Amino acid sequence: MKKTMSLVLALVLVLCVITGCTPVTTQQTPSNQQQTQSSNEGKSVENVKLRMWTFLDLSSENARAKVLGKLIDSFEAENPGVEIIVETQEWSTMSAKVIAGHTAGSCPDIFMINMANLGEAIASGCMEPLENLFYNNWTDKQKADIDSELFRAGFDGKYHYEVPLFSGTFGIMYRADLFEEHGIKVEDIKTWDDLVEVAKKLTYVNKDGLQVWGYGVGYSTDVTDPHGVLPTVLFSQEGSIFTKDGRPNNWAGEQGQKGLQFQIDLIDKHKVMPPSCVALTSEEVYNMFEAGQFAMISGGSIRMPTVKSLTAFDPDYVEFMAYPEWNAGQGSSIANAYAWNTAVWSGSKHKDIAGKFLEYLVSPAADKMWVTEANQIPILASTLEANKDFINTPDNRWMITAQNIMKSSALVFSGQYSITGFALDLQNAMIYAYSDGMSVKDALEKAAQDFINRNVDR
Amino acid sequence: MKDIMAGRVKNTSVSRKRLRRLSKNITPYLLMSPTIILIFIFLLIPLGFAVYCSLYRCDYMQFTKFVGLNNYTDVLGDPEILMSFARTFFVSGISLVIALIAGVIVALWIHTASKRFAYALQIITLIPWVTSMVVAAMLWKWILQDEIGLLNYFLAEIGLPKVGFLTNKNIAIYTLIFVMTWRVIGYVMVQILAGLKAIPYEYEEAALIDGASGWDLFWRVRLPLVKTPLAISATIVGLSNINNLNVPLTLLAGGPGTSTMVTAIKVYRMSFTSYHFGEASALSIIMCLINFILVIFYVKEVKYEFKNA
Repeated sequence: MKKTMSLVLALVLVLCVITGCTPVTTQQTPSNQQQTQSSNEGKSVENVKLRMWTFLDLSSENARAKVLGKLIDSFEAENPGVEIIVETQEWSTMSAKVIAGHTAGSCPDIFMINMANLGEAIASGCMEPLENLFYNNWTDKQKADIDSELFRAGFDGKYHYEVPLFSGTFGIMYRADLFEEHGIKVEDIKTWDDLVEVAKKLTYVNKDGLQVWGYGVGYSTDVTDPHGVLPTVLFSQEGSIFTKDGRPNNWAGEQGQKGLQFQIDLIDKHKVMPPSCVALTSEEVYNMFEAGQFAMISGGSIRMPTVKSLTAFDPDYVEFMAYPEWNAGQGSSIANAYAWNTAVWSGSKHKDIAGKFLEYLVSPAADKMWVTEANQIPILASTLEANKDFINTPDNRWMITAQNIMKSSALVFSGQYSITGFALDLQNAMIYAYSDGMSVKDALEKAAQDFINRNVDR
Repeated sequence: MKDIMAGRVKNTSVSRKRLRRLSKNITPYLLMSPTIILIFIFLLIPLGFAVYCSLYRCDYMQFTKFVGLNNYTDVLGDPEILMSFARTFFVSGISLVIALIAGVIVALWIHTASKRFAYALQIITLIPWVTSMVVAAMLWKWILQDEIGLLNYFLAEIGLPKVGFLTNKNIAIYTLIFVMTWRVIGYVMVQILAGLKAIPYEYEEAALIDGASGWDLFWRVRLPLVKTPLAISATIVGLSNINNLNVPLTLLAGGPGTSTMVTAIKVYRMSFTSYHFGEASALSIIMCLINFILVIFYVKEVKYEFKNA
């Protein structure tokens, strides 16, 4: 009996080891077999393998991942012998890994860098200028079509380095059904004080006994985004979060102090945010919104399709609006616009093919797919024009809102200096003041000094 | 002719003896060589590289400037890092003491319990030890969360106020101690139980015949004889707690505020958030030296065990 049991347990262990040893999440598109076949049929073969780093998992149901998969398939079909291998990475660490990988001499041929690391990436020399790839072959019309602040963020005065995929801006995601239920109109939220009043009405225990909070932001320093009132106040009142030489721009000044105090008051004084917000990551805030625990959250427009697909309530009620005004009549508070800056590695052995694929990703046909199948904001001005009917529908209203915010009140960081970790420092200011008991001014001064120590005085 | 032949035979047997002696001397090293090579590749070379990194300004793995011991002085002169050391030792120390006491109690219980109950209790106690640290920390995070946690739900059901296990800076550190202790009790139990099983029954029988009470039996017979497994457990658990990153990072990420910011999280943040590998390497080497002191203690105890075996 004992021997039998031992044998069974040993077999179970071996099976676990075998099944547990999953391969690295590199995904090869289904057309690879076809490619091998067609290449064996005597066509000219380059046998080029391109590695691409992205946060998208091609095996998932995510709309962007599906579109990327389709684009890879069609590119491979049009370019026999070329194989694109997608390696999925964690979004919050991918950019820094690219920069470190470039220094170590090993990087994927195509990668995505977030806005916060763009300056660092350009300075490291890991991105191949688009002028060396395809940009110089474009007509003036094509160049004008892609021109935007986000595209210019990757321009150092001489070269362009990236194409901005998956652009968006931060703002407020809200539940239109709860607004309707409580007789609230979006147009009535003009200032942050108005938002507080609305949030108070939306902080209650619902009929299922679930505590609903009026407003939600995550201040955990584990995974950070530039959410909250403080970044928008610094943007709006100081003009920019950074000076021209990349230093914090008066973070501990009067406006910064007011912004940070306002954040604290949302929890302590107005009680429209739970105290646990200091420990919540932005991912957890999205999850809680999807579960119906927040009526409004500070969020990125890029998350709208994903959030809508995961809500416990009718997804049609998820809407998006700009941050309110800090001072009445001043216009909505400025938010940070962002994109995933897609580029070719400067050390790639297949720059020409990688550049061709990059160009393909922002072609009018591809851009139409990004918009219509993955609900992304158009990269090209011509796509916006050509797909007006699709975008001007109730389901996609939020895209118009996000586009308007990006045009009127969103700020794009320059790629000319390093701003790595600034969101962490601004979150830390909240942590220092709320949890560690520092004064608001001291907390902001310390946060600014942390940023300088890490990025400037090196 | 005979002399020549005899000489040849003598030379052959001498060289055979030499060969045998050489073989006897080299064979142990040849057998050990795979392990030594692995230790060299996966331990010594990375350690050497870390020391090298710690002497440079090394951001994003770019060795820009030789700074000598500046990284060490910067790190040791940073009050936040010194506080993180204090927190690390506080958390590790209290967790260790509780784990040892609880481990001994459970081991004694299993030692004296009926077979089936003892078996069940062993399994229950070992589950935390064999569960992945990240999985365990995530489970406890969900149980202890303010808004959606199971524990606060039950507290609310029985009319008690919610407790900020993860958000109150005065409580969070004890939450961390609890989860870290919960994880290691199983290991201590196994070590002590093995020590108890190794005690010859005659000793306990003789003590009982001499009129020893339960407490006397434990304090005067059992405890002295499990001193070595206890010391070894203390060293291993102490090392495990000091170097533990998974539990503090997953459960609390150093928060709320900086109340649970332990040194392991500092090293992680320096390396993989800021990518300042120079300072991170310096801090890692300092942690390594602290571990080294504990390892010396461990080795001495093991040698004591062998000498007295």
